[in-house]
Amino acid sequence: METFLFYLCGGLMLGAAAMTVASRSAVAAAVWLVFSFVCAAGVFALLAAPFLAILQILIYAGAIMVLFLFVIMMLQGPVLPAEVAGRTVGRKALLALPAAAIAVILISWAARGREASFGATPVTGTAAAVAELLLNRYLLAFELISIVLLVAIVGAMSLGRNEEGQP
Amino acid sequence: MNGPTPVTLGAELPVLAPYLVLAVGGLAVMLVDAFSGGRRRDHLSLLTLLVLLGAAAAQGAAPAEPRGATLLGGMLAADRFSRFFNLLTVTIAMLTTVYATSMFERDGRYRADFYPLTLFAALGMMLLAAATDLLSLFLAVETMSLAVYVLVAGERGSLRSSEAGFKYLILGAFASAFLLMGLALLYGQAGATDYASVHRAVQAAPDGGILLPLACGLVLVALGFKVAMVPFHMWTPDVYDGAPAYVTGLMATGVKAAAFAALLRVVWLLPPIAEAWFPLLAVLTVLTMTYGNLVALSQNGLKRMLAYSSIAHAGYLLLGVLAVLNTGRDSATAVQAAAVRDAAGGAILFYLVVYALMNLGAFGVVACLSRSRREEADAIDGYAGLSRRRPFVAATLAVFMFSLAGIPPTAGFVGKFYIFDAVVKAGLVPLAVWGVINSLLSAYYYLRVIVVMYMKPAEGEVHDGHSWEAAFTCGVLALLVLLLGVVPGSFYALAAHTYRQMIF
Repeated sequence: METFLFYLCGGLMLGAAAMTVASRSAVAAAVWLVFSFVCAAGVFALLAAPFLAILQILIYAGAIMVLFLFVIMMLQGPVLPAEVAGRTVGRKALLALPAAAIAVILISWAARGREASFGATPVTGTAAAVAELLLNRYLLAFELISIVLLVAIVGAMSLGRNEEGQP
Repeated sequence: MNGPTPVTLGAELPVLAPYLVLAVGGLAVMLVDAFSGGRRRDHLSLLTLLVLLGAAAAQGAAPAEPRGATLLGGMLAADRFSRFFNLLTVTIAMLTTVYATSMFERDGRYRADFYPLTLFAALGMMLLAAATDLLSLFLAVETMSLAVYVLVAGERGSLRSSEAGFKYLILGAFASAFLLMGLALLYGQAGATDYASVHRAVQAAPDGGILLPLACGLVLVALGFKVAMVPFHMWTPDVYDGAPAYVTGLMATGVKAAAFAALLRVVWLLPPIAEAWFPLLAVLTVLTMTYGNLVALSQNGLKRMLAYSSIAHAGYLLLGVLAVLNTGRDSATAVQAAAVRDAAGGAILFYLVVYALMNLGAFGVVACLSRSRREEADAIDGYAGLSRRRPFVAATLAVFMFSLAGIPPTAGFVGKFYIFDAVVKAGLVPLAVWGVINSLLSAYYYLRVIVVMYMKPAEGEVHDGHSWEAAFTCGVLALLVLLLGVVPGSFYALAAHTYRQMIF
């Protein structure tokens, strides 16, 4: 049952991700991305990380994508003209090549049964376990992310401000 | 370090102090700015300089750590190597602040976001040079890059600045994605994020695995982007040219030094894998040097010329990295190999410092001579007759150009000499010869600036801005460049010693 659900979620996630890239309308792409995120949350839940699954839905599928959609609608989501999409087929193939290469490598690596070499100790991803890691082992990363976000906010504010009061 | 080490924050605070001072200082500068009305922002630059001085003092006062000590459970190194780069970064940030403030004063128009962002960018650079964990490596890259994107794009009313920032942001996001993918693969192989565990996993891995070379390649792409290695250099000319001169100086020196520091730790971490990439890396290094120098020949703007020259200099530094990588294969004994590796590593550190001094000097001259931020002293023709109008500034720029070209008795010559010497010792004679040929080629466009300054009469539009602070700083930098060129020995010994003490 679990295996079946895993492949179901994983397959749907990949399909939705492919649709995100392939959609010509930005809004449709964003909605496909939401779907992909929800499926990823399912995969997380199956991997014994319930906290991560909830956060994935709350933050990514919820907050961030709503913001995305707002921005796209404010910019009046451009629809790529068909002739532009058609012209760049060669370029698309060129871009797909490295991605396909990486996919092949990863799949062949997984197929050879390298799970044994994966050294991380499995933990159950409850909120308590995540908090324990965040505030101990990954304290620096936790604090540094707040600085990264602060820099991003300062940047958005200072770049987005209008030119009032200029000499 | 096996598994999670308990974090003992209290004992590590003194060693963490430089980073904390910068982080808290950045916040303080933002708060002070928010509560200070009016247009003048002099006190912000003063506060920023004080914070940077405080960080340097904290670094100086930090207790000497025994070899192998890491902070926060393996996240950061507390070695001489990180101390070296912390002091270098703080110096670069101080000079950048001085130049920026002198430009702001000329315009009477301050850019308040500059000060906190510079502090955060410096924090990112310091953490990048000290990172000994895949996670802290990535976050340090992001802290530094995000701050620099905004610094590049934030020049008000300048379309070229916005364009440069946008280009840098988009391409930088790609590079970050490459880095993240590579780090994720490394984590997948090692099952842990700290360098020590990754190193163990790499050593234990069977040779046939394709995952590690792939991960290593992705990480190399990302760091190659940051140091402007061909073919990941496309952004460099436009971004260096479009960014305000004071930010370009920071990018060309601080970002590059931090990225090379991270690269030195990473290639040390992945020796067998990096060797698989050795031939390709050698080809890319040759291309980087040659491309940068060839295109720089035909530039008419000083900033754009320095951008291409920075690509070429990344090539010289990559030569040093190749020498570090090659020592394991050719040298007769392990002791000999270690000696050559230390020589090469020391040469890279020495060259990074020299490069920072002369490049910041050159950008300082640009900042000094710019009339306003909209009329930067960019066109090389505008330097005609500078030796008559401003003999002192012209003399300092001449020193920097001689040094960039690698002509004795400047530090640039000594730095190149150490690098090429290490490359020869590592058994890569053809590469060293190619480096010397490139260096000769580059003399043409550096010396052209000097010819224009000293031999051409001033005509038409000339640069005649003025700033005491920038001129004074350039004088000090020129003195340092000459000093390191005449008596480099002890500083080089220090650099080699610093590299030898590097931990991962």
